[in-house]
Amino acid sequence: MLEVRNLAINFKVGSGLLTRKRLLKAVQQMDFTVAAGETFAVVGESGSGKSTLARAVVRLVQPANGSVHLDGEDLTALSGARLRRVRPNLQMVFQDPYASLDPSKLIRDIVAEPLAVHGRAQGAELETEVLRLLRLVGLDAHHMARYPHEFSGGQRQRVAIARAIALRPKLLVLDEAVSALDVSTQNQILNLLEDLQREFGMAYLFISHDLGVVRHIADRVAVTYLGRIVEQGPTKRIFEAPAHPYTRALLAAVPVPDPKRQRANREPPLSGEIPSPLDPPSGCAFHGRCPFAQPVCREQIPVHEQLANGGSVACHVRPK
Amino acid sequence: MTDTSEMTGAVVQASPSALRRFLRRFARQRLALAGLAFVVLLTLAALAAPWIAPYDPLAINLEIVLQGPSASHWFGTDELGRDVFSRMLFAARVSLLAALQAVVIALLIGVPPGLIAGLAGGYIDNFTMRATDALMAFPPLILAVAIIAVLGPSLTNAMIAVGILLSPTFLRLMRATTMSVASETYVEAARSIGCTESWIITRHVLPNVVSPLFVQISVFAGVAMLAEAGLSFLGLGTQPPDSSWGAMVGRAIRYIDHAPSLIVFPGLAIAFTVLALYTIGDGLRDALGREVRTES
Repeated sequence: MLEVRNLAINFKVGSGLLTRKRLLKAVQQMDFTVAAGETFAVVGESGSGKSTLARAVVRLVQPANGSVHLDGEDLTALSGARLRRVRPNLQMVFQDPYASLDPSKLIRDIVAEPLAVHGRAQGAELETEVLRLLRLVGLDAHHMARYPHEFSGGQRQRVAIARAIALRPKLLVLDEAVSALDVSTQNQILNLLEDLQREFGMAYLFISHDLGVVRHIADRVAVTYLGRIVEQGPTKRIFEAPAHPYTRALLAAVPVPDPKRQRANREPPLSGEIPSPLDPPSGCAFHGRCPFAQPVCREQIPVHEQLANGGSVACHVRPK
Repeated sequence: MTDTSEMTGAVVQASPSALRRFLRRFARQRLALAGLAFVVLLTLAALAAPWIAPYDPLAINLEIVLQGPSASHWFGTDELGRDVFSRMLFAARVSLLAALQAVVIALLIGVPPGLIAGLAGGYIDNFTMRATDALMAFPPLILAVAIIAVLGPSLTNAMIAVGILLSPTFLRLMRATTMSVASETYVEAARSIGCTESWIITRHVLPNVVSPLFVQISVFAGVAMLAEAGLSFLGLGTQPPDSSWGAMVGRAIRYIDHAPSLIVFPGLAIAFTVLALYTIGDGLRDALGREVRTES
């Protein structure tokens, strides 16, 4: 249903007044598909380009290269009114529910806005639909005449979800949609998302840095590092048999509530920070931090190879 | 008195409207309320001047020139024996109207380009801001005198000059707030659901940029009143037989030895009104400030 091919997104950074503007390659050569009704997670550290990817999929940023097809239609080729016409099919829930709701609007108007903009309902019908949506996400009629600042983070995210599903999208992009919430609220929102998916058959593009959450909710996972996907595959395979040294390091960093297994899990720890995407390393971007790095890693960018047990990995070494 | 800013999401109470919340927060500020009461009373008095003034402000009586305050002439009489209290009531109309004119002109000149510059960015923003810099680089009084020299001395022309001088601040304020609001996530969110740009500007950007504007308006009403007083004092504003407080101070200065009270009353009127407008501005700023975010 969603097909992302060879996607690249660049930003120009710097003032350009005294220094030359530099090109920040936030996302490079990303390929993946999301099937209808499926949850596809993209994980990575901050700076790995995953939020930029989310914003490109809903066309808030224009990619430099590549394509995003939704049901065969290339979104990157659309603009203006034609783009607005397809927007109902793919909606987004943002990371910070404190910033994503207009503070000057009532909850009723926030949830009604997508319906009003696309002329789906008006008057009493609109009111009924807003109430139905609020009830779907666990809110009620008395919340309608409130302002966002009167709500907790979890409640605000419920409002954001109600608004995002108002147009019955085929794909919901969830950009770190639960990471700003505390753990118990996280679980409530995740359960809500699962319920909604069962009911409406939406596909989720789930952007997160939280492996525990991803393991719980995702069908398939892509691991990103410095703007590239380094490994992707079914969730079970990724978590049980990670193929890329970076994935292995990430998984080893997740604490396990059992000291013996925790010790057994331990990989050589990752050293250093994620490099600047302004000045990415040559070859495999991970080679500077990889405990298994070989000379070839410095020179050639690894290409994705299919794995027998599902998915693909981009690594020259592929340690056992 | 309950405070919404301390309210957490878990214990949400009946919701007051935005206006009522603002009014409640404004009403908590005594000084701003006093300022508002003063300006409202003054405005009413100015509007009712023809009915409440004890004397004709233009009636000359050379037998009672330059008298100090008395029971029959509360604020004394001027060099032509006219009643100062009556003249001040009529002058208040001129002074208030002048301040209003200047602020409206400044808003008309400053707000639309500020909004456009903030939204458009790039070359348009650059051009607008450099033009503003050039305007601000002129010494204000000289620029005002130059504008009046071109347009001729009259109160309206003086206020056009003051309006032009005040407009860069409105422009910059609008540009800065528009820029920050336009980069808010809720604007991006509106775009992602498929709102048109004009919908986003009218429904999301404008409602969120007007608060700082209101604060600036009340402060600038005070500034404009001072500027009018200054220009009228120099003879570049209000022309006789009309009079504003500034013009009254200007004329009174010649008789400061014989009748010091002549300068005191219009001077105090200017000072108190400007002060009142500033305190309203302060109160608005505090009442319109964002609610403290509460975490869940």
